[in-house]
Amino acid sequence: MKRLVNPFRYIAGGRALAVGLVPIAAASCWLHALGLCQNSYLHFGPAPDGFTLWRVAALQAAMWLAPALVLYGCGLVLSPSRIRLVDVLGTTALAQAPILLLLVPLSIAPLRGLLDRTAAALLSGSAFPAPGQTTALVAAGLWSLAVLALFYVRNYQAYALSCNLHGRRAIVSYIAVAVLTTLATQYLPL
Amino acid sequence: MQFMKRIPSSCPACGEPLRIGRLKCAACETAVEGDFAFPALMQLPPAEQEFVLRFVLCSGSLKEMAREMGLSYPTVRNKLDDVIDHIKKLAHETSR
Repeated sequence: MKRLVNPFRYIAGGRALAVGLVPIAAASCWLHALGLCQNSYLHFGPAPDGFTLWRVAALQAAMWLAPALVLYGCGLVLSPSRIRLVDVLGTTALAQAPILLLLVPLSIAPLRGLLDRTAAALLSGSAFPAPGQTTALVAAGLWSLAVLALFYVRNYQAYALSCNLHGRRAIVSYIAVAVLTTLATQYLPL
Repeated sequence: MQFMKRIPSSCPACGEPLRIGRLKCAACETAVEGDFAFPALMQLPPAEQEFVLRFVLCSGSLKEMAREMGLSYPTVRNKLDDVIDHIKKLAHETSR
């Protein structure tokens, strides 16, 4: 369990970067196959028409690199140690792996259809899901929440370890970067 | 197997740092008495002393040390920074 949440104690730097690029590439292929893309930080939506695999991969890479570089900048300012860019990039790349788990519910056709219909219904203010559908929606929601929690914890651990930061300084700067990235990526031109 | 006694650096009763009161030559049994402080390195906890020893034996190469210990480079570097911090504090306290 410890290795799942914080593998960075054992792997970092160039090796972590090489291993971490695999789930990023896999997520890009998977998203492309589903006709989706990560159109803002941790938000998946339909890919525009003619959106190639390379553009999906470029978006995936941007969603990893942008916060990683800002975290590196924070580390340079806040860390008492001499930190290395390759450690920040490597550990944060490896921390992206839970994204693959987020794609699981979207790959189950009936569930994805239900999610799409429910989102559309909620946005238009029309009928709420039927009781029979609620269980599936709650299960998908709980799954996503658990994976998101794992994603954030792993990313925080990657940042804290690669930049040698602890306590309030690490937590506050990480939350600031996560919020900033979420807001900034809302305005990405696709 | 030879048992090597560990030198206690803090008082088992109150936890305050211990000082050396008597030193003895093992060959001629000449003894020197006084009030001597432990060097900063000897005041470190055993795990940190072990870390410093490994660091020296690896010729100061953190990469080699990380490989030997099965840990990542930043984990070992962070540990070294913690030890440096600890030694600085101890040296500062000793010099006062």
